[in-house]
Amino acid sequence: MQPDTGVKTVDENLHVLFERALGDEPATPPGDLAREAMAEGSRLRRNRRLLTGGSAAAAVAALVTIIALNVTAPGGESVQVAAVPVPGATTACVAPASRSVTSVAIYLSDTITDEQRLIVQQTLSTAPAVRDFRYESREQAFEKFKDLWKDSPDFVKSVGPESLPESYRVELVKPAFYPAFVAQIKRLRGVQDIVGTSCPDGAGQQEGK
Amino acid sequence: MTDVTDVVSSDDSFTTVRARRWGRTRRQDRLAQDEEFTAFVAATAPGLRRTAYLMTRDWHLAQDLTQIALAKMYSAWPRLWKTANLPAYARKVLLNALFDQRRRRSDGELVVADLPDRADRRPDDGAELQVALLDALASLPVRDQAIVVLRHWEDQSVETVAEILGVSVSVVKMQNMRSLARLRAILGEDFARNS
Repeated sequence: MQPDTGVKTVDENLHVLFERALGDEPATPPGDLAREAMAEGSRLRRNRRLLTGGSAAAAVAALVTIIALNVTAPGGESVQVAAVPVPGATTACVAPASRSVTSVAIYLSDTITDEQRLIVQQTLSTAPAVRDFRYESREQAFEKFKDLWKDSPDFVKSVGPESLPESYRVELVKPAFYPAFVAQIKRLRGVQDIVGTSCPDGAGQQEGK
Repeated sequence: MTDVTDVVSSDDSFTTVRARRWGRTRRQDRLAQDEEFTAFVAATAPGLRRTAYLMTRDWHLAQDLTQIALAKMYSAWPRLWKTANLPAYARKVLLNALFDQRRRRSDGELVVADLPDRADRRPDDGAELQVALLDALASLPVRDQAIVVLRHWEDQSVETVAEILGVSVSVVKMQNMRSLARLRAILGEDFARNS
């Protein structure tokens, strides 16, 4: 206990009276309480995520409209996270890549706070290396994922939006900026992973479907 | 268009590996988090419910508010579960739920302080004093009720109460003194002598 004003000793009987007032306390099953709180809490979390995802996407959309009207939109949905080098496919993107990187996926941590997300977004909107960027929510990632795996519904069922990270999809002004850009971004809290994609000329501008 | 198909399939494998990896670590993490949460509920819920009851005089409402507070805590659990001062934070969330509930309720109805009425029928019997105390407490502004209950039921330090309510230490001290004076005025000298 901290040093007090002395009021407390005068009114020590308050505690006793409160205790008596609690005398008719009904019993509750504690196990149910935790389970119900977890169910309701998960629902709240989902709603909040939809909300932040939606507003971030709207903010990015507005930004894109303002700054990047004359710039080609980021490439087709699926080319952005290509992982395995595709030999012979001259227009295919390669990821993870460390050379000639033209677009970057910044995966956000599972525990990122709204504030940290905002800082990432602000950093991206002011970074000179960034030509264009957009936010991709778990739901959008999942939509993409569902589309890619539409032939394996069981696998899709086993995944769910919460298995996929949120991300920012960034188009760089030029590949030479990539190392400095990574160094800048990986310092930010809430950033889980940065994956560069190398797209030979034109690949990033193709429609993915 | 074959190029595009290749691209799509390479995206497949990358996303798949990523999804599997995330899925696995997240499941383990979530399991540990949920265990911690269940233990936290077992340790914290009874205290929350009692505090809410003292301020609402309604066990059902106290239970509902506790439930709301715990659900809110769980919704932020990945960020919260490793923080140090969970019990104080839980009180903050509970009280915010309670303040919200008061605000909603008072939107629809005019709350008339029933102070004069209470003062007229001072308890003459010690057994009723605890009932009179909760009635008298209910006549205080809701934040002052919180200060009195946190200080004198939960025995929280002035500093902790200040942190929970987001006010300064001097506000807690001042309002606590005023509230006690007011309770004494309503309940009479019995209050000071009793027990």
